Amino acid sequence: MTEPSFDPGGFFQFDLAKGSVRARGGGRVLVVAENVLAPLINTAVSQGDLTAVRSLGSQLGALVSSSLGASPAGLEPAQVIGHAGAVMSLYGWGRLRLEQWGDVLVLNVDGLPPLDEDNLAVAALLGGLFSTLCSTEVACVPIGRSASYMMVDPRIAEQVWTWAKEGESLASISSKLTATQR
Amino acid sequence: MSTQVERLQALLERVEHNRQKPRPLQARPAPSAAAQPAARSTPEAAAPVAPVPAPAREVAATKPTAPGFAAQAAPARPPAPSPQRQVVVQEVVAPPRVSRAAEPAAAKAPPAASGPSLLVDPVLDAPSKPIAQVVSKHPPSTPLSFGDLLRRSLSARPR
Repeated sequence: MTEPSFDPGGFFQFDLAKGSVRARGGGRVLVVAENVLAPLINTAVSQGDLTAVRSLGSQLGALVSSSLGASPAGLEPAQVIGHAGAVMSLYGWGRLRLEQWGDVLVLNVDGLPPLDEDNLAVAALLGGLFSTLCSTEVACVPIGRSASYMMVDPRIAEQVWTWAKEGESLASISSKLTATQR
Repeated sequence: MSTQVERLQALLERVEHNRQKPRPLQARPAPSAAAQPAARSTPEAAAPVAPVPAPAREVAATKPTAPGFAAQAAPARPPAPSPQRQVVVQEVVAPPRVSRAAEPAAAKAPPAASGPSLLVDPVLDAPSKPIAQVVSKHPPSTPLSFGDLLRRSLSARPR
């Protein structure tokens, strides 16, 4: 295997004298308990503003991009998801996997505590991550309560979200979509 | 703690001893085990004779072409020490069908020894051509990159 794998060594640095924690790249982070974060996210969802979570996703995407060292477009899917999953795991945002349903890519994130009812926070995080990583706008639409997120063009995200809210499964929704020439 | 260690050591020694113990002949139980169905079918033949020779006679009658038993009937073999083995040799050689079948089998089978022997399967000829061939009319597909997969996913539209 010639592709470089993600190296988590020394990703976080704890400066006890200054009371700060910094991630690779120098950005400062705060360690927050999930039972503190969940109410904050619920408040943001109820106000319809998940900009902060999407911004966090963008920062993670930048980290993934720097660790890959190359544009993800030409890389193998396993390598891209390996690095993205490693960064998400380091930040405590669950385990990331990639699936293919017909012509559509689906991300699966498990091991997360429930943050909001419709998983909109994780959807915003993933959207920010992959939009920054791939340098194109990507919408990650949550499908029911299944911890799965369909990667689609933002222009059809609303339609996919409606199908998901109506209770349609991943298989059913993916069968309704067909790839076209862009 | 020391007693447990001693017990463990004793157990290990016993296991080692059992492992080094010579195993019983594989051929020996076979005649008696194989002869039991034959004994059930011909009880009157087994009843009047002693238990040791009887199984050997019935094995010869019911399994005349068994290469393992026929291999043991090679005439150049030195006499075995146990009387049971001698009876087996005598009974298998008697029928002419057994001796004719025994010659090629004896040529292929390993020479008998006084100790335990193994049954050796005949060597199979190498196939003249591949046994299975996978032919596909489609060329092997090239793996898609992440960019190709994402592009296809983002181009998806409702039918």
